[in-house]
Amino acid sequence: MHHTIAVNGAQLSSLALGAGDGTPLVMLHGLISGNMASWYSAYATPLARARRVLLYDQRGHGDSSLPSGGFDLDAQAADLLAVLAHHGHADTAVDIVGHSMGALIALHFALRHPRRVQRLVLVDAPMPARDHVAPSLLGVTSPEALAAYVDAELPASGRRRERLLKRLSALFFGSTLMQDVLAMNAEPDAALAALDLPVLLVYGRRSPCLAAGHRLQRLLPRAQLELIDCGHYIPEEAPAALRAQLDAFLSVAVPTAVPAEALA
Amino acid sequence: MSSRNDEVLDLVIAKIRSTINEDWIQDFEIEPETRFNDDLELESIEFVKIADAIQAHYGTQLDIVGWLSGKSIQELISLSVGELAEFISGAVAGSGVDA
Repeated sequence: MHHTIAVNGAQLSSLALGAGDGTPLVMLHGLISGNMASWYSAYATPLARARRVLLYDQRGHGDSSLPSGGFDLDAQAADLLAVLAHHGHADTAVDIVGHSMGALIALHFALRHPRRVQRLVLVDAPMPARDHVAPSLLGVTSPEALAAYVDAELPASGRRRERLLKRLSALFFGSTLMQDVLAMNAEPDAALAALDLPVLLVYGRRSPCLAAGHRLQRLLPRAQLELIDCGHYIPEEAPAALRAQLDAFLSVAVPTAVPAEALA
Repeated sequence: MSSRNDEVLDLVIAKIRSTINEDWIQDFEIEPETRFNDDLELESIEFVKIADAIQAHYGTQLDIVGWLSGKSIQELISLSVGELAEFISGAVAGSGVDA
């Protein structure tokens, strides 16, 4: 079922799928090319057999609005908090799966609100984004450079290309996205070392972000690292392998969700 | 084609028009052979909206996992309108509930 959620300076488009006794799951897509479709048919609908699955388009993506700011991790973690509250999960701990920028938002959220998270799946988290994400965007300084970037990275034609260019023009030239990404440092080692949650790290063997996976595995106390034979765009490149990882990690029984305030 | 299939096809076409919601689509002739990818140049997020609208229409009569699952969004967008309608008809009929 479709929802529109008003958050700080933006309207977010969101879907709630399925039901069941399992821990509610929210899935976060990646930057620029991602939206709810990244997870919808290949992941969210099958996972929704056993649990409620929440999806949303992050600000500036998919069918959500194009605000001029709020792309930093604090603001995007606040968006996630508002999405969970809207769907009636203001007091429950949820599972979170994120790919790329979505994984960085998920991790930042878990560090800020550890009692609101049951388990975390970070798919090719590019930490720090300043080093792993910003360089590919820095050349996009003019409409011509944007068109070249789109044709190289996100080939599309006709109507799709026009709509993509319109959205990305607003993101690159009318928002703080670039400066927000350039300011994204690694999470502090001590905070990562104190995160007492089961974390599944899934990285592509050929991903330029693989070093981040090894670093997170070393620092997070309860992390397991699984490598898949692909690059950075794991949800599209290796859906069967990623589905198998998610099914295995999320099917392990966890204690019945306890209200967060009771844990506090 | 059974009346069930005709009804599903009409619903899919109506949801395509209301989701795209641009002037050109209102007069665009949508047929079973029309392809989401090549003919409508649909964005992935628009396909999600169409699928969700169809699911909302049928509610529990349509097994969402049965007609979508496992398929990537790229596979779904490469379908024709008629092929999608057939998947839906199968999943509604398969539930054993008459629409």
